[in-house]
Amino acid sequence: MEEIQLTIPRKVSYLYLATTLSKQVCQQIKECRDKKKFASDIELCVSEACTNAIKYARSVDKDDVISIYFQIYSNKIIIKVQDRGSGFNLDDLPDPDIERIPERGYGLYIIRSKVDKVQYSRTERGNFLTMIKYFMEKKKVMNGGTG
Amino acid sequence: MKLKVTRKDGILIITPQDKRIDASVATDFKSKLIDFLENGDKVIVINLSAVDFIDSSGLGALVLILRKIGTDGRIKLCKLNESVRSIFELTRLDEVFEIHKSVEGAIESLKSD
Repeated sequence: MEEIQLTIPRKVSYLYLATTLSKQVCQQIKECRDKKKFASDIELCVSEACTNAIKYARSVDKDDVISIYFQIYSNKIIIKVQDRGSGFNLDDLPDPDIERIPERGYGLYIIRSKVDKVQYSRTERGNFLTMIKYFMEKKKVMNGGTG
Repeated sequence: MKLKVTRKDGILIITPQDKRIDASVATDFKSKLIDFLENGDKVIVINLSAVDFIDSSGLGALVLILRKIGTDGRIKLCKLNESVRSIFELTRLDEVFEIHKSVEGAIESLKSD
Protein backbone atom coordinates (compact mmCIF):
# COMPACT_ATOMS: atom_id res chain seq x y z
CA MET A 1 0.00 0.00 0.00
CA GLU A 2 1.17 3.51 -0.81
CA GLU A 3 -0.14 6.51 1.08
CA ILE A 4 -0.21 10.19 0.23
CA GLN A 5 -1.33 12.69 2.85
CA LEU A 6 -2.39 16.33 2.57
CA THR A 7 -3.25 18.61 5.48
CA ILE A 8 -4.98 21.92 4.72
CA PRO A 9 -6.49 24.73 6.78
CA ARG A 10 -10.24 24.21 7.32
CA LYS A 11 -11.12 26.83 4.69
CA VAL A 12 -12.98 26.46 1.39
CA SER A 13 -10.21 28.38 -0.40
CA TYR A 14 -8.02 25.27 -0.03
CA LEU A 15 -10.55 22.92 -1.64
CA TYR A 16 -8.86 23.26 -5.01
CA LEU A 17 -5.60 21.96 -3.56
CA ALA A 18 -7.29 18.82 -2.25
CA THR A 19 -9.23 18.09 -5.44
CA THR A 20 -6.23 18.76 -7.68
CA LEU A 21 -4.11 16.34 -5.66
CA SER A 22 -6.89 13.73 -5.83
CA LYS A 23 -6.84 13.88 -9.64
CA GLN A 24 -3.05 13.62 -9.73
CA VAL A 25 -3.09 10.62 -7.40
CA CYS A 26 -5.62 8.81 -9.60
CA GLN A 27 -3.58 9.54 -12.73
CA GLN A 28 -0.66 7.63 -11.13
CA ILE A 29 -2.65 4.40 -10.80
CA LYS A 30 -1.38 2.29 -13.71
CA GLU A 31 -3.88 -0.52 -13.19
CA CYS A 32 -6.89 1.78 -13.55
CA ARG A 33 -8.44 1.36 -17.01
CA ASP A 34 -10.60 4.48 -17.28
CA LYS A 35 -8.41 6.96 -15.43
CA LYS A 36 -10.30 10.01 -16.62
CA LYS A 37 -13.67 8.79 -15.30
CA PHE A 38 -12.11 7.36 -12.14
CA ALA A 39 -10.22 10.59 -11.40
CA SER A 40 -13.33 12.67 -12.11
CA ASP A 41 -15.41 10.61 -9.65
CA ILE A 42 -12.74 10.80 -6.96
CA GLU A 43 -12.29 14.55 -7.48
CA LEU A 44 -16.01 15.07 -6.94
CA CYS A 45 -16.09 12.88 -3.82
CA VAL A 46 -13.04 14.60 -2.31
CA SER A 47 -14.65 17.98 -2.95
CA GLU A 48 -17.87 16.87 -1.24
CA ALA A 49 -16.13 15.21 1.71
CA CYS A 50 -13.79 18.15 2.33
CA THR A 51 -16.67 20.63 2.02
CA ASN A 52 -18.60 18.66 4.65
CA ALA A 53 -15.55 18.63 6.92
CA ILE A 54 -14.93 22.36 6.43
CA LYS A 55 -18.50 23.60 6.71
CA TYR A 56 -20.25 21.19 9.02
CA ALA A 57 -17.64 19.83 11.43
CA ARG A 58 -18.60 22.59 13.90
CA SER A 59 -15.12 22.90 15.35
CA VAL A 60 -14.59 25.73 17.83
CA ASP A 61 -10.95 26.11 16.77
CA LYS A 62 -10.71 28.59 13.90
CA ASP A 63 -7.14 27.51 13.18
CA ASP A 64 -8.31 23.97 12.65
CA VAL A 65 -7.10 21.78 9.80
CA ILE A 66 -8.42 18.82 7.86
CA SER A 67 -6.31 15.96 6.55
CA ILE A 68 -6.89 13.83 3.49
CA TYR A 69 -5.25 10.42 3.19
CA PHE A 70 -5.06 8.60 -0.14
CA GLN A 71 -4.23 4.92 0.33
CA ILE A 72 -3.58 3.04 -2.89
CA TYR A 73 -3.90 -0.75 -2.85
CA SER A 74 -3.55 -3.20 -5.72
CA ASN A 75 -7.24 -2.99 -6.64
CA LYS A 76 -8.74 -0.04 -4.79
CA ILE A 77 -8.19 3.40 -3.39
CA ILE A 78 -9.19 4.32 0.15
CA ILE A 79 -9.62 8.01 0.89
CA LYS A 80 -9.99 9.22 4.45
CA VAL A 81 -10.96 12.77 5.28
CA GLN A 82 -10.17 13.65 8.88
CA ASP A 83 -11.52 16.61 10.82
CA ARG A 84 -11.29 17.59 14.46
CA GLY A 85 -14.82 18.96 14.85
CA SER A 86 -17.78 17.62 16.76
CA GLY A 87 -18.73 15.34 13.89
CA PHE A 88 -22.09 14.10 12.70
CA ASN A 89 -24.06 10.91 12.40
CA LEU A 90 -24.03 9.47 8.88
CA ASP A 91 -27.43 7.89 9.48
CA ASP A 92 -28.91 11.32 10.26
CA LEU A 93 -28.22 12.43 6.70
CA PRO A 94 -30.67 10.67 4.37
CA ASP A 95 -30.58 11.02 0.61
CA PRO A 96 -32.32 14.18 -0.64
CA ASP A 97 -36.02 13.97 -1.46
CA ILE A 98 -35.75 15.19 -5.05
CA GLU A 99 -39.50 15.73 -5.31
CA ARG A 100 -39.16 18.60 -2.81
CA ILE A 101 -36.19 20.12 -4.71
CA PRO A 102 -34.00 20.69 -1.64
CA GLU A 103 -31.09 23.14 -1.69
CA ARG A 104 -28.92 20.88 0.47
CA GLY A 105 -28.22 17.24 1.05
CA TYR A 106 -26.74 16.27 -2.31
CA GLY A 107 -23.13 15.91 -1.09
CA LEU A 108 -23.32 12.60 0.73
CA TYR A 109 -25.76 11.28 -1.86
CA ILE A 110 -23.16 12.00 -4.56
CA ILE A 111 -20.42 10.29 -2.52
CA ARG A 112 -22.61 7.24 -1.88
CA SER A 113 -23.36 7.04 -5.60
CA LYS A 114 -19.78 7.38 -6.79
CA VAL A 115 -17.82 5.07 -4.45
CA ASP A 116 -18.25 1.44 -3.45
CA LYS A 117 -18.32 1.97 0.31
CA VAL A 118 -18.66 4.90 2.72
CA GLN A 119 -17.90 4.74 6.43
CA TYR A 120 -17.81 7.34 9.18
CA SER A 121 -16.08 6.99 12.52
CA ARG A 122 -15.34 9.19 15.50
CA THR A 123 -12.04 8.53 17.26
CA GLU A 124 -9.76 10.30 19.72
CA ARG A 125 -7.76 11.53 16.70
CA GLY A 126 -10.86 13.08 15.14
CA ASN A 127 -13.65 12.13 12.76
CA PHE A 128 -12.92 10.09 9.64
CA LEU A 129 -15.08 9.91 6.54
CA THR A 130 -13.73 6.91 4.65
CA MET A 131 -14.50 6.27 0.98
CA ILE A 132 -13.48 3.09 -0.82
CA LYS A 133 -13.54 2.74 -4.59
CA TYR A 134 -12.29 -0.23 -6.61
CA PHE A 135 -10.50 0.21 -9.90
CA MET A 136 -10.08 -3.51 -10.49
CA GLU A 137 -12.05 -6.59 -9.49
CA LYS A 138 -10.56 -8.70 -6.67
CA LYS A 139 -10.34 -11.91 -8.74
CA LYS A 140 -8.23 -10.19 -11.37
CA VAL A 141 -5.69 -9.19 -8.73
CA MET A 142 -5.60 -12.75 -7.35
CA ASN A 143 -4.89 -14.08 -10.85
CA GLY A 144 -1.95 -11.75 -11.01
CA GLY A 145 -3.21 -9.97 -14.09
CA THR A 146 -3.72 -6.32 -14.66
CA GLY A 147 -6.89 -6.98 -16.61
CA MET B 1 -16.89 34.67 -8.90
CA LYS B 2 -16.69 36.31 -12.32
CA LEU B 3 -19.87 36.46 -14.40
CA LYS B 4 -20.30 37.65 -17.96
CA VAL B 5 -23.71 39.26 -18.25
CA THR B 6 -25.51 40.08 -21.50
CA ARG B 7 -29.10 40.70 -22.55
CA LYS B 8 -31.07 39.62 -25.57
CA ASP B 9 -34.72 40.47 -26.16
CA GLY B 10 -35.14 41.31 -22.48
CA ILE B 11 -33.67 38.00 -21.35
CA LEU B 12 -30.70 38.07 -18.98
CA ILE B 13 -27.91 35.72 -20.02
CA ILE B 14 -25.44 34.93 -17.25
CA THR B 15 -22.22 33.10 -18.13
CA PRO B 16 -20.04 32.11 -15.14
CA GLN B 17 -16.39 32.55 -16.11
CA ASP B 18 -14.94 30.28 -13.43
CA LYS B 19 -14.18 26.70 -14.44
CA ARG B 20 -15.31 25.38 -11.07
CA ILE B 21 -18.45 26.00 -9.04
CA ASP B 22 -17.75 24.55 -5.61
CA ALA B 23 -18.02 25.74 -2.00
CA SER B 24 -15.22 28.26 -2.52
CA VAL B 25 -17.37 30.33 -4.92
CA ALA B 26 -20.94 29.13 -4.32
CA THR B 27 -21.81 31.77 -1.71
CA ASP B 28 -20.63 34.59 -3.97
CA PHE B 29 -22.43 33.00 -6.95
CA LYS B 30 -25.69 32.82 -4.97
CA SER B 31 -25.33 36.38 -3.76
CA LYS B 32 -24.80 37.74 -7.28
CA LEU B 33 -27.75 35.78 -8.68
CA ILE B 34 -29.99 37.03 -5.87
CA ASP B 35 -28.94 40.60 -6.71
CA PHE B 36 -30.22 40.12 -10.27
CA LEU B 37 -33.56 38.82 -8.97
CA GLU B 38 -33.92 41.72 -6.56
CA ASN B 39 -33.22 44.13 -9.41
CA GLY B 40 -36.19 42.71 -11.28
CA ASP B 41 -34.54 40.22 -13.63
CA LYS B 42 -36.70 37.12 -13.53
CA VAL B 43 -36.24 35.63 -16.99
CA ILE B 44 -32.76 34.18 -16.98
CA VAL B 45 -30.53 31.88 -19.01
CA ILE B 46 -27.46 30.51 -17.24
CA ASN B 47 -24.81 29.49 -19.75
CA LEU B 48 -22.51 26.91 -18.11
CA SER B 49 -20.20 26.47 -21.11
CA ALA B 50 -17.09 27.59 -19.21
CA VAL B 51 -17.76 25.35 -16.21
CA ASP B 52 -16.02 21.97 -16.17
CA PHE B 53 -16.66 21.08 -12.53
CA ILE B 54 -19.71 21.53 -10.30
CA ASP B 55 -20.40 19.92 -6.94
CA SER B 56 -23.33 19.97 -4.52
CA SER B 57 -22.51 23.52 -3.40
CA GLY B 58 -22.90 24.75 -6.98
CA LEU B 59 -26.08 22.73 -7.46
CA GLY B 60 -27.42 24.20 -4.22
CA ALA B 61 -26.84 27.73 -5.50
CA LEU B 62 -28.80 27.02 -8.69
CA VAL B 63 -31.64 25.33 -6.79
CA LEU B 64 -31.87 28.29 -4.43
CA ILE B 65 -32.31 30.67 -7.38
CA LEU B 66 -34.87 28.40 -9.00
CA ARG B 67 -36.88 28.36 -5.78
CA LYS B 68 -36.56 32.12 -5.31
CA ILE B 69 -37.81 32.80 -8.84
CA GLY B 70 -40.75 30.49 -8.18
CA THR B 71 -43.69 31.11 -10.45
CA ASP B 72 -42.80 34.81 -10.93
CA GLY B 73 -40.13 34.09 -13.51
CA ARG B 74 -38.29 31.47 -15.48
CA ILE B 75 -34.75 30.14 -15.52
CA LYS B 76 -33.12 27.85 -18.06
CA LEU B 77 -29.66 26.31 -18.23
CA CYS B 78 -27.61 25.68 -21.33
CA LYS B 79 -24.32 24.39 -22.75
CA LEU B 80 -23.49 21.91 -19.99
CA ASN B 81 -20.43 19.81 -20.70
CA GLU B 82 -20.63 16.03 -20.28
CA SER B 83 -19.19 15.98 -16.77
CA VAL B 84 -21.45 18.75 -15.45
CA ARG B 85 -24.50 17.22 -17.10
CA SER B 86 -23.76 13.86 -15.47
CA ILE B 87 -24.02 15.47 -12.01
CA PHE B 88 -27.43 16.91 -12.90
CA GLU B 89 -28.52 13.45 -14.06
CA LEU B 90 -27.14 11.74 -10.95
CA THR B 91 -29.07 14.07 -8.65
CA ARG B 92 -32.09 14.09 -10.99
CA LEU B 93 -31.89 17.86 -11.17
CA ASP B 94 -32.01 17.46 -14.96
CA GLU B 95 -35.73 16.77 -14.32
CA VAL B 96 -36.06 19.99 -12.33
CA PHE B 97 -34.15 22.39 -14.59
CA GLU B 98 -34.84 22.81 -18.27
CA ILE B 99 -31.50 22.26 -19.99
CA HIS B 100 -30.72 23.33 -23.56
CA LYS B 101 -27.79 22.63 -25.85
CA SER B 102 -27.38 26.25 -26.92
CA VAL B 103 -28.01 29.77 -25.67
CA GLU B 104 -30.21 30.37 -28.70
CA GLY B 105 -32.28 27.27 -27.91
CA ALA B 106 -32.81 28.44 -24.34
CA ILE B 107 -33.84 31.91 -25.51
CA GLU B 108 -36.26 30.56 -28.11
CA SER B 109 -37.76 28.28 -25.49
CA LEU B 110 -38.29 31.21 -23.12
CA LYS B 111 -39.93 33.24 -25.87
CA SER B 112 -42.34 30.46 -26.72
CA ASP B 113 -43.30 29.61 -23.09
